[in-house]
Amino acid sequence: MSDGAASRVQVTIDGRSVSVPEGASLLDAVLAAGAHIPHLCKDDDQAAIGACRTCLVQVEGQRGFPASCYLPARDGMAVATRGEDLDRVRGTVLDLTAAMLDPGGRGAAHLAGELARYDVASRFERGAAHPSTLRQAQGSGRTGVDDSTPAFTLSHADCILCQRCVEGCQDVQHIGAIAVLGGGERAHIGAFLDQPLVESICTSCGTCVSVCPTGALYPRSNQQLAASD
Amino acid sequence: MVLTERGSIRTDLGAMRTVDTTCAYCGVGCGVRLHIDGRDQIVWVDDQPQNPSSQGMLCVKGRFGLTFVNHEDRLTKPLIRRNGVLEEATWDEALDYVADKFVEHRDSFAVLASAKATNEDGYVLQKLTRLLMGTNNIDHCTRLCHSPSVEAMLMQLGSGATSNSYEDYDNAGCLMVVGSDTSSNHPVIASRLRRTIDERGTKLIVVNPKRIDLCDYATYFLRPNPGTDVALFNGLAKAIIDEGLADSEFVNGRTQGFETWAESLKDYTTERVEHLTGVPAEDIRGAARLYARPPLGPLAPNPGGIRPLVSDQRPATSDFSYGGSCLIWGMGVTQHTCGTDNAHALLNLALVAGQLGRPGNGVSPLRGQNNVQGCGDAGCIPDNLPGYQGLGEANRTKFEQAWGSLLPCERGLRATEMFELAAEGGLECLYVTGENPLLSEPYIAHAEEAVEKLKFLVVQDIFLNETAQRADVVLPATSFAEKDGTFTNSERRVQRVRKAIEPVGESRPDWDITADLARRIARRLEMPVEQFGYEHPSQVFAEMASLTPILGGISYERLEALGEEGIQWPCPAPDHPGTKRLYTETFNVGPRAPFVPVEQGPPAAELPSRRFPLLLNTGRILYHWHGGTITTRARTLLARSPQLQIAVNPADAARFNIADGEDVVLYSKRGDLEGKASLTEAVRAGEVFVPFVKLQERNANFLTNAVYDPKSRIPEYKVCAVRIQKVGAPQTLRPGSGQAWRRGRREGGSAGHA
Repeated sequence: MSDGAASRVQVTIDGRSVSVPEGASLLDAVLAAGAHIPHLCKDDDQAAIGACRTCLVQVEGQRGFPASCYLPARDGMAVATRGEDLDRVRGTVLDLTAAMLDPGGRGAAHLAGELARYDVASRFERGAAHPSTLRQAQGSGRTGVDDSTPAFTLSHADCILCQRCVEGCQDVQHIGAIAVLGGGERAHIGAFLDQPLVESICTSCGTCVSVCPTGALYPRSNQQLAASD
Repeated sequence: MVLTERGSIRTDLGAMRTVDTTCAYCGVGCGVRLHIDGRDQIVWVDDQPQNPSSQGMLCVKGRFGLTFVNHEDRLTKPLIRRNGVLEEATWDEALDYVADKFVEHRDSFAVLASAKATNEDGYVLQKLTRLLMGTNNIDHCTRLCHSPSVEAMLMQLGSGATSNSYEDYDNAGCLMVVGSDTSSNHPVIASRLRRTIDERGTKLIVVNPKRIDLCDYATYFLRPNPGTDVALFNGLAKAIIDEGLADSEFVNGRTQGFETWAESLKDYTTERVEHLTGVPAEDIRGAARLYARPPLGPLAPNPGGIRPLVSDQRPATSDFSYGGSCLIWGMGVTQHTCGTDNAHALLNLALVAGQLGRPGNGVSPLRGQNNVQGCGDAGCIPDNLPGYQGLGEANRTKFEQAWGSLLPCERGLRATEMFELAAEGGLECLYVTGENPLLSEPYIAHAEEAVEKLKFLVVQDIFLNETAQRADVVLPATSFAEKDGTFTNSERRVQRVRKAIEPVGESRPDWDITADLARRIARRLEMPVEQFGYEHPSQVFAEMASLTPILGGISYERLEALGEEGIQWPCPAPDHPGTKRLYTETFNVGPRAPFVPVEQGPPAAELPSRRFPLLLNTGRILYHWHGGTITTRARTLLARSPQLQIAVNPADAARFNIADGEDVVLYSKRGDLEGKASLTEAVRAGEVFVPFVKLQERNANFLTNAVYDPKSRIPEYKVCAVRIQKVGAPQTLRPGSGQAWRRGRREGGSAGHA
């Protein structure tokens, strides 16, 4: 890009100074600085959704812990990605997110790394009941897994409703086959009228699979297909 | 592994590394990131968002269909036919044998090049053909797809390439898509079209006898009777002139022959065209207005939100102070006996409306194969040296000096002519690389006869396809994932192909096989072998660039430095940025492009009759690629679409007593075909549609008619007459299968009569 020095802003991330183009988010600055924070619903190449609330940061002189994906970087901002209170709040968000998932499933496994990073013992480890039995019985066919297309599976019990797949389907491919259906505890990703994906306008392009942060949308391997030949 | 960070290696799927390259399916040229495990298997494919042609989009074939690379059917060793059986051999045995035979048949030799292979593969192959075999008998599958477009565009504009870039679709006010099921065949272009329609309110005109998915987005859906395209486009042009919508500045300043051409349109009143084509006069007028005066849409917003894609920077606002119209077409225009006339009629339309050579407009024949553009650029056509340099004295001298020997001056055989000549016994030796004519030629039984008459057939491919099964020698080539090279996509963008895995078995890259073979032939002919001493495809490209002005400024170093950007030709000098749009100032034929008057002739060579009452249209479906040699070896795609579906209108189904999902058989004069009936309003009553993919040993080209457009020699795949009935239903007309009819025909009986 041909951005001149004038169109860039300077921010400090954990004491390290980085320069990002004007209009970039704080999350961009954090990633540019090489720091890691979870950002489950933010696709690197797409607009922010702001659904997962895991990319929280602390900005000097501001109250609370804003989501960095939605906060434009401004010149002179001093940002911290770790801190006792910040880690505790983020840990709680991650814990609540994990509570949406089948604890033995792929999504929980993908989230385990993030939980460990913030020293969060999940509520299941602490013996709490989890609501995923309800989520397992959602979606088309009420089996909890849509395996109608040979390309990939959609497992509702591994989904955190971040909507990256919806964004990929509509804003990248302009197909619009999937959306969040239902509300509250019944909310889930699905196609029009809750049809199996293979009967919808879905073309199995796999963009949703490539952006899914928890593996709820997961490719079926050649071996699996060979076994079912 | 952190799944949230895109592009990170999918270790959860077993991947250990990634390689960025260019997709090997269609001509869009999408960037792909192959995730490869420890056993050199492709376990996952991500989009490469920096690729400006695909901008992070990818279709089901690119994402899930590249696993054919690791399929167990891959050829791993050279094969030689001994006592009628193909047996494994060493490379030395095979190549020496082939070299002996090529020298023996040097005066009756032809080559089919591959539009799936790289530019470098094509260049070395045409060099072998011209320099060592002394013939211009080299052609490729463009003969079967866009040769009418190329003929017409060469005459009127001077180049057969797409005039605009994909970004012009993003900025157009109106898109006219003719005879192309873009969502199935160029899915990522379709995504871009949908994006501009969704986000900018761009208008869409679809011209197609079949209702395609894009019709959901269309302002006008014109549904002409098959084979009446000339009448429709003449009618549209006349409507533009009559309503005073012609771009007089463009017509006066940049075209010639307008008066004569306009006079030739006098009979194409919208009312008469309605009668000929079945398209309502009001729709013709409406579409003409939209095409000639496209709405001035708002500038495309940055689709990336807070952080736009680097590759998606929009041009300055001042470029788009008016609305433009893009004309996009596919095989529905070309695969007719009047294919070239159809293309002329389309180009006349673009010229009269001045929709050419400016940002946001242009003419685009969507190229089918990944490298059908590059294969022609590299010189794998019978009438041009690389870079569309004619066979005249001056050009030949340039190449003769570089290559150190005399070159043939006569035009060579075109692909379809090779088969006609072979059928008459006039061609002895054929070298087929990465093509499968026994699936793609019309009237397969006839093509099989032609191949039987060859004295020596060499097939170089990645699978033992139908043609390879009949070869005398089979040479195992590598797929796109196992070699370095370049592809040139539909917008003339030269893109890098990078080696991702080691060659499967003993397979070798095409350029390497051909160069090795050429060295052996050269020794036998006592010609210098140094002309084929390449050690890396970059050397091949450098030689091609040095002799080809349109590629002159492109090199591997430059391409690598640009990452996934690629360079659009013409790029004559190392400091030239490449060319987004052709014809901004002048045309390759001169300052003025000629109008070419064309008349509507008979719609097709074979029309429905009492015995064959339905009209068969062939095409493709999203989940398969052409004949299916590749996609039936990608498990996901085959599982998604395992059976041949014959699309039938419900009215015809009732008439012939067929239910949805029933096994049916289609008969033409030439053969028969079984498949599952799929009842749909997408085809009109009186028409059936079959994709030409071969599934379960069934392929539509057993039915299609081997008649040709006289100007381009393209076969008429799009129209022939058929009959439909249930499998097992009593034969009402005559017993026996199509095979029996063919025998009857050969014995002198006239086809189709009891």
